[in-house]
Amino acid sequence: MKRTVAITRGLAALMAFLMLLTISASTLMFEYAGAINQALNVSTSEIITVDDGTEVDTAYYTSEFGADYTNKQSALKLEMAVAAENVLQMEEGAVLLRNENAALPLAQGSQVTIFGNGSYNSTASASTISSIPTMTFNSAMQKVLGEENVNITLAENVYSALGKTTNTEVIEAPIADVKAYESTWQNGYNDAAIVVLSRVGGESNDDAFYGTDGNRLLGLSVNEEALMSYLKEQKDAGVFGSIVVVINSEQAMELGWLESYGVDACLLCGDPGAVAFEGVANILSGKVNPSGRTVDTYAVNSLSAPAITYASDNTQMWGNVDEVNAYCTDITNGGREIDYYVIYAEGIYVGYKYYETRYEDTVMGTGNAESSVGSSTGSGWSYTDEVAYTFGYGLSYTTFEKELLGVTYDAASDCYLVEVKVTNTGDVAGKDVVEIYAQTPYGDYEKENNVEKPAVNLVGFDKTAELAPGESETLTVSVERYFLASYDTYGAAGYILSAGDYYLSVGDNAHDALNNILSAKGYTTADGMDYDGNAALTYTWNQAELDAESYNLSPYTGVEVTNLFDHADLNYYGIDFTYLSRSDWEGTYPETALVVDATQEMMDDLNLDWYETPADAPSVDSFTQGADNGLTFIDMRLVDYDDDETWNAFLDQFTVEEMVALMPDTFGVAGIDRLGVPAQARADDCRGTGTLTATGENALTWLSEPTTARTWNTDLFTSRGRYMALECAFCGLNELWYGAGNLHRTPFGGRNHQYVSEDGNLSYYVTAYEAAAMQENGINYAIKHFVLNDQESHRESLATFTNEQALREIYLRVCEGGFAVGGANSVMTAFNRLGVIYAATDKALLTDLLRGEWGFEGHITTDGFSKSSLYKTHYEEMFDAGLTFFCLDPGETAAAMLSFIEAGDGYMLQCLRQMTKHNIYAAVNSVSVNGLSSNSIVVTVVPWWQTAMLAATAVFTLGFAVCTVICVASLVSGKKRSVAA
Amino acid sequence: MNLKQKSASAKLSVVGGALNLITLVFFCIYGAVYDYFDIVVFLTLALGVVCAALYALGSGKVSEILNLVAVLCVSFGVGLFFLNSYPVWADRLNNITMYGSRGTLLPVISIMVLCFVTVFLYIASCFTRKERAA
Repeated sequence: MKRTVAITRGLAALMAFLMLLTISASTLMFEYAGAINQALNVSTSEIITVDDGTEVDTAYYTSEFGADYTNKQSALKLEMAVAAENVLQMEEGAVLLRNENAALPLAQGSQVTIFGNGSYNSTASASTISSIPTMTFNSAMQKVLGEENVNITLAENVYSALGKTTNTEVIEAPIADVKAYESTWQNGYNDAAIVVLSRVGGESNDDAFYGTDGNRLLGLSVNEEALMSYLKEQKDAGVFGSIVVVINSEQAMELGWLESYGVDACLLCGDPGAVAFEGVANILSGKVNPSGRTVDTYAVNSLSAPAITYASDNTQMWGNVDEVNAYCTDITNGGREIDYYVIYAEGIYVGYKYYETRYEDTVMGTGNAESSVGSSTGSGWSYTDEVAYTFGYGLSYTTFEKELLGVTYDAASDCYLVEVKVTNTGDVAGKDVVEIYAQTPYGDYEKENNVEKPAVNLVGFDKTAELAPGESETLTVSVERYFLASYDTYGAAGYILSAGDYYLSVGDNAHDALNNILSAKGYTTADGMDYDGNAALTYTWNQAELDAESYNLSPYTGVEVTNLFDHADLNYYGIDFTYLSRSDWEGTYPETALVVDATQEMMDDLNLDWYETPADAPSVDSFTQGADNGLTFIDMRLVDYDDDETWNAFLDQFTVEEMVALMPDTFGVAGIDRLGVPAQARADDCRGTGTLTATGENALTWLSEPTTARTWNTDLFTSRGRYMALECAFCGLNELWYGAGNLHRTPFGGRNHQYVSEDGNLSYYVTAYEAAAMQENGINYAIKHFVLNDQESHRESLATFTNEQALREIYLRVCEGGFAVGGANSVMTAFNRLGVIYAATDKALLTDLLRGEWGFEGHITTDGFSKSSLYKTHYEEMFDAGLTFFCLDPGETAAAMLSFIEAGDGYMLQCLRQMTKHNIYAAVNSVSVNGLSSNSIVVTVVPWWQTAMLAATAVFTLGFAVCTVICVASLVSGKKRSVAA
Repeated sequence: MNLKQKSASAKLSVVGGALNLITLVFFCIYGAVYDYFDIVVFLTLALGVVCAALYALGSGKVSEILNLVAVLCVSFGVGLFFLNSYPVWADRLNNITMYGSRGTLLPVISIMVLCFVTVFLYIASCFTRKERAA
């Protein structure tokens, strides 16, 4: 009997342990079901169509790859096309920065040796498609030049033992390890030494300013310096014919050293994804003529921009942090999420807008520009000491000549039409980019009202077709007059067109355009210009009066445009802060960071606790829920957003529980069978879309977003959007949390690979074209992270101060293109705060600007939700601000909303109905409608893994119960026997 | 208490209980330092210690199932602890900050390992007879 007790007790214990283990695992898995479904390639909706004899074409979104997303052949065909597109985008997006002594293209039959840990441990990704091989740098070079011509000894023997460079440490082999194999390039493989240098950032991880070796991380590391010195010696000794450097980085590296190390050529390729290194090899070999242009400034010293004073490693902590922690309520992890702030002290002077504007002022002798403040040399500031390669820069294997044929203003489109003739004057075919920059007046009014003006501002561009030698093409570039307006925060509280002289300049890059403008103003090298410009490439006119009327209404919705973001400006809280001004570089440059003590008002706002039910809130009972009005999801497909009658009839059918079910998201959301709403799946980011439904393999990793931008080819912006949309459809998604919405404010941003550039207007165009292409193909293009999430350091809850001019002309401009022009139907808010207001609770941002000024009709999600981050749990403020769903929320927000409504807050119910409208509107204008007709029924399918987990839990529970009963029964019967005895 | 005179089952329960107690202390320190203290986890772990001790020291039929109760308590506690520590796993494994996590994975893993070893000792105790063979 005692043996029975022991065995059954032991089994009961084992079952109990397994039961509680499966319950714990199931709890977590069910909470994040969407993510697991995606990982396991499981769909949770099935569409059943009742055959009533009518034939309805339900492939509302289709392509040359068809609309059967379970077709394996189609999926593989698409991935083959995507691979080819990646190579093409690299061929047009790689930038030739330097090419001396005709080092490139490599002569046919050249034998080369590959150096640099980046050649083996690059930022490239592995191919996820078994039939498409990964293209590493070395394999690409071997494919294009021939295996027999490429010496990869170092990769095989040295670099293979190293790791990848990280955001804090540059990994490069000690020079002794390299020299150990020098015999392999002494008598061959020495036509060129090709060096690949890598830098990398990542989510949550900005680059450190300094590497572990003490050198600036974006400059050469100690080991890289040794490598470059060695290669120069070898070249000087006649071993190598040339040195070619390939930059595999989306962090703008310092490149002022190229000449001093005898580098003949330098090619910027960025992050190639899985296959695009082949495009790099095609350029190096001369198979393709490069035509990319930079989208960032490549400074001599990566710490020389004014933005650095408050960025990444220079993120600041409140001066009265103890007081903040004592007063504020959202304290987690000892205050980590509430302790920090940055100030965008540079205002609009980001990237080239800083370097070029300061250059102009040094030439014109204005604004104390020549002072030593901000100088990398310690002496007077000089452009050539600071900038290696400017924005918009890029060389070709041929030469082009540009002629400005004329500029006309088209009132109908409110655009200037700039006609430029481009002629290929070299001897190989190639493409050229026409870049148009504007300079607008900076007069007394602007100085008095702190309206800052960059010396040049990109306002339009276009790319030629491939031009044969001697061939010409005339491009007409549209320049939106809107881009010539400046946001006047403190004076007109709106956009103004300044009085004075305007310039439109055609330039090979930002600096070239500025030199053309300076030339038109009569300046020459005698005034300090680095070369004389061409005034003939500049068009100028004068506007007599300041115009504060033309753009005081939104061009998209007609609502008044006025200050919305005073709260993001430190001055709003009574702290006197002066942003960088070209009127006095010396006096306004942020040499050191201001230590800010959070004021009482700031601390109150940090608490994010302002919601009160409005006095005129409707009652909960005033809404109809659960009605049967005969409308299903598919019936709403073509219903206009403003058709309130139909939308209300549809919304009246939802129960509150059904509406809140659409709020939490775990990379997707379950369907609502009763109303024909299918389940939806969403995925994260512009580098890859996830698992292909048909094959179970992951779609290919794309080259980085800035590489696409560096093509300066709007057709390629569109094709990226289109191909990624088609991949999403083949992955069962209806939305991609894409990225693209922030700026390369500094080269250290961890997610610079995901964002377009340092320029708001270029980013505006990229997001506009990508968004339009994705939406046209039925995928919601979700721009993230809205807004001012330009650094990863302390991204959670970081207080971010800036002024409204910088916000509107740069940071919001990035997103404006995607939403207002491209029609993006989704957006993800940022983790940080505008001023001290968490972006997801900022009603001015999400409702007044996004919906009011820009006419956004889609839905809005938070970035990753966590109830452990207390500042993300201000539900009423988020619901009121305009949020409609909540990323990675296992259900907390839904529960909160239910509790508010149960407590009788009718305003919350009103918010919920509005949220539901946006959520459904985004879904019904997506590929989710494919396969649905009025004859369709949507049926929820329980995923197999949920059944398995439930079954396991049931088995263990039953086992525990049975064993426990037997055990107890044995004990009791044993007791009876013992009493009887 | 003379352990030598106790059965293997009781000895396992005592060793498990001691480990359980160490885990409990470790959890309290961890919870205080990283603000992850959960009263339910605390109570279940504490109850586990009490049950293990009573099983080993007590007599009577009711005490016969106290090591089984201890398994239930610690299993529940470690499950809840795992769910509570999800933000730490998610942030640390992805090398990000997004889930509001606090601290590193090392103490989390340590506590879970201690709990699992404790449970295995208790289960082993359950499989063996409380009274020593004659």
